[in-house]
Amino acid sequence: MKFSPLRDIVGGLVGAFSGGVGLVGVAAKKLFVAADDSFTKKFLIGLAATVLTGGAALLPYLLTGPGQETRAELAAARSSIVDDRYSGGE
Amino acid sequence: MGTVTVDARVIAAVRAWAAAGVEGTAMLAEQRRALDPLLLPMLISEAAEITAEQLLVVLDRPPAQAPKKDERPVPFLGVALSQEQGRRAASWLDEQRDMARALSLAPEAWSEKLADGMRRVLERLRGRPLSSTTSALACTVADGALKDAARGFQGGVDPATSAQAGLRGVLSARVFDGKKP
Repeated sequence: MKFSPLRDIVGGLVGAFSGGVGLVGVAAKKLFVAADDSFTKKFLIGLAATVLTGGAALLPYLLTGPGQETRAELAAARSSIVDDRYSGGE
Repeated sequence: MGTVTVDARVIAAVRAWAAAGVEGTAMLAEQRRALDPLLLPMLISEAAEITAEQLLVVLDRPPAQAPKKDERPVPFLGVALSQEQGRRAASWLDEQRDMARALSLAPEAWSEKLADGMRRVLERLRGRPLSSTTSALACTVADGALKDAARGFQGGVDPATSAQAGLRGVLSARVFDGKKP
């Protein structure tokens, strides 16, 4: 691809902006949402952060849906049990 | 562990299941389809024992946050759990429906395998410290309490009219003061 300073600068700025507003979403989640909060509360805070940041802050909420933490805990426990179980060699 | 030698192909299937994280049941179904049918009972037995132990591990995990003062206990198979334990137990139970499907078993058959698995886990963990709640729940599962709840895996059971022991607790465990598991 041909080098284009303008395109690369604009691309960089867009990337930095997206990363910045994405961080606002992550910060809002850390500050205002606990793991066992209701889905409604998570949704409303996610919505507020989304409106404030023009949509980019939605990502953390899409990645961590309701019950996701518990399912991840179960998966981690399973992985650890399996590792211990067969650690003596196959 | 134990005296039974587990076939390397079954171990590979179990490892793939464990490595798949929250998508584990889909991977387990894939592994089951690819496995020699003669090895299927061994895979089911391993999965049942690991899944039974998984329940004990997640229930015995220290709470992420201190229980609230006015917190209501969650009845689960006749044992009173904290709200956090209840959420974990309900999430585990939710997964059992998919586990039964992944292993091509009826929910009742899978609940029996889980009871067998829990009995083996209790035998193996004998002497290891477990909280009294976890220990009581393990004994209940090993005694076959999940058989009563098996229809709950399939859904469509009205908790208000069901007389099945354990099932009410299982279903009410999904409420958690209005929160989802």
